Amino acid sequence: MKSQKDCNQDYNGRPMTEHKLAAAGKRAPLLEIRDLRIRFPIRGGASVHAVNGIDLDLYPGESLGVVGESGCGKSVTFSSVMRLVASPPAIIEGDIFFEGRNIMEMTTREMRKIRGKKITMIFQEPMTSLNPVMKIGYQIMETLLLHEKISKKAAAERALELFKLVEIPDAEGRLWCYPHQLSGGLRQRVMIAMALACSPKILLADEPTTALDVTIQAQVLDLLKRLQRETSMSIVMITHDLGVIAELSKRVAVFYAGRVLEEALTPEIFRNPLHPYTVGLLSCIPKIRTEQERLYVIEGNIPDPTNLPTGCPFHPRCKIATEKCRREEPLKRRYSENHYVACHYPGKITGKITV
Amino acid sequence: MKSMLSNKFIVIGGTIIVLMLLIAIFAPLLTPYEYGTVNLPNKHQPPSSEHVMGTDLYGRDVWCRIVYGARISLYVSFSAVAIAIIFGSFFGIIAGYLKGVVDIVFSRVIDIMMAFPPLLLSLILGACLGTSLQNMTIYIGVPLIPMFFRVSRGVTLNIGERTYIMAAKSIGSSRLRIMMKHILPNVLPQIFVVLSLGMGGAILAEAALGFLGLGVPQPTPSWGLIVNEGKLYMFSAPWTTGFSGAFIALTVLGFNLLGDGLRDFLDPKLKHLES
Repeated sequence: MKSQKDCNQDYNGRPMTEHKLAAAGKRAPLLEIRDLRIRFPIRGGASVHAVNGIDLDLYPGESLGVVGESGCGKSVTFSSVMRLVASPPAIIEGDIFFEGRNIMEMTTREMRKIRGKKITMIFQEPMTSLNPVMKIGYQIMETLLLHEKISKKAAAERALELFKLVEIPDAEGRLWCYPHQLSGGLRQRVMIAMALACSPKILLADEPTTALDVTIQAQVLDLLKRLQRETSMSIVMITHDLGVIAELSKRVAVFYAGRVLEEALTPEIFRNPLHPYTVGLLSCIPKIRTEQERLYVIEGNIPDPTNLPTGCPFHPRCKIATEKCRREEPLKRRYSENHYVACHYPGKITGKITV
Repeated sequence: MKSMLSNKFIVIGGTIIVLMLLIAIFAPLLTPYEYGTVNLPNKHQPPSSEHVMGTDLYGRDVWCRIVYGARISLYVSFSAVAIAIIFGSFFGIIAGYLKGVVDIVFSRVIDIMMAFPPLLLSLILGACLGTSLQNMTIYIGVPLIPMFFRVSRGVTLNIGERTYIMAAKSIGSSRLRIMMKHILPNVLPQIFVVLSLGMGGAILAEAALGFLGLGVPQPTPSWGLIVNEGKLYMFSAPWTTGFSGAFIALTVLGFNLLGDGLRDFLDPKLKHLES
């Protein structure tokens, strides 16, 4: 609870909620994650600390980009929003409020009514996220039949509409295909159609383009962009590709070792990154116009989640780390309008680091 | 389907099984005799044009009894395997999907069942329940449950972690629905392979129990019973045990060949090698 109190203050000691509400045009957040902590006990009494105190808001109609390296807790955070993280074995603490109600306290039955209807998810692997022995049309209809009181015939018609919405060529013919008859890109479109079936409030896209080749990636991103424009749903884009974020998201949260290190509007984060980790991430992007022999890398590895460093989780890799960073964990605070950062020395390293 | 017919095991095994089924179905057309008519002066006749496979100790036509026996033996085996499949895969899928305490409890119960030799378990159950056609399916079926339990639990453990199960959960499916609609259809192909192997086992078990006197009551013929009746005269009138034993062996061979063939056919790794 200590961190919650602290992170509600900005760098000038003013309460943070005011700013947040102001930034969002006084709208209440649709989804509020409060001090979420998830760990997985392993043998010998140790635990894998996957998520270590995440505070994050998602506003209606907003597109939030979540960026971070593999294993930084971004997928597990949003899986727990749908309560898809099995507990036990996982130990989950903290609160997640959806439309003002705490998801962590809902019954399984209540949760089932939210899954697929209010909050849906697209998974990374389009090859394995469809049931191989079920025709894809039925898989789409399943969502509709589960949540809406409609006949099978109406559901089939709606499935066809959804196929057309996600721009599947020859929708009528493809509806009764098995998943193995479709390419990866098409299967991801089917997944998107499934996720959209009941017009959800929130779409959680867990690396939806990672397993696709670049051409198809561009097509799927265009589709998501169009859908976001045309519908009022909030999209959370979980990715490790900053290009995807730049393309799709209005706001970005940078994850590292189960924490949010920096949170800002997308143009702001590209123009003025404050956290040394974000600066490093942006420096890794190869630039077309400048001649570069070597690409920049952030030295070191992500910390061992069973044995996290004390203080700032990034300090072992940080060029400007001091004794304070090793000792004291910096909390996420407001730095400027729409810009939050968890660092003792925000903005000390700026611009791009070149090799 | 075409490549299925190119598998020799499936073709040979399948042909044998289909023949046996046809014999069972068209039994009255294949023999002029009644299976229960006793004709003592005519006993222990060697095979002749009148009695193709000779007669038994009561002078009954052996071919006729084998043909009608096929009905009983196959019926008992199919029903027993059906019982084993229903219970085995039901509890296997539940154990594999829910894991945890449920899995531990179910698996230990199955382990206890497996600690008994199947025939001994059948004998115990048979002694408790008494002999009748219905009871026979139960006491042959129960020892086969572990086989189907383990297969369905194993397959479920494997596919329970796949993304599409997670995806099914993420659209709000209940656990029962996931097990019925998403896991069961994926378990069935594996069940079919074990089914044909299990059928061979059930035929043998029926024969063994019939031989031990726990078979169907007289005068209904079953293959095990025919062997049992002929055992005293095995050397003086070998046709009774010989022909009925040959039918048992042939049928078991057919089911085992079919099972092996299906396993090879459905194994994606082997299929990959072929193509």
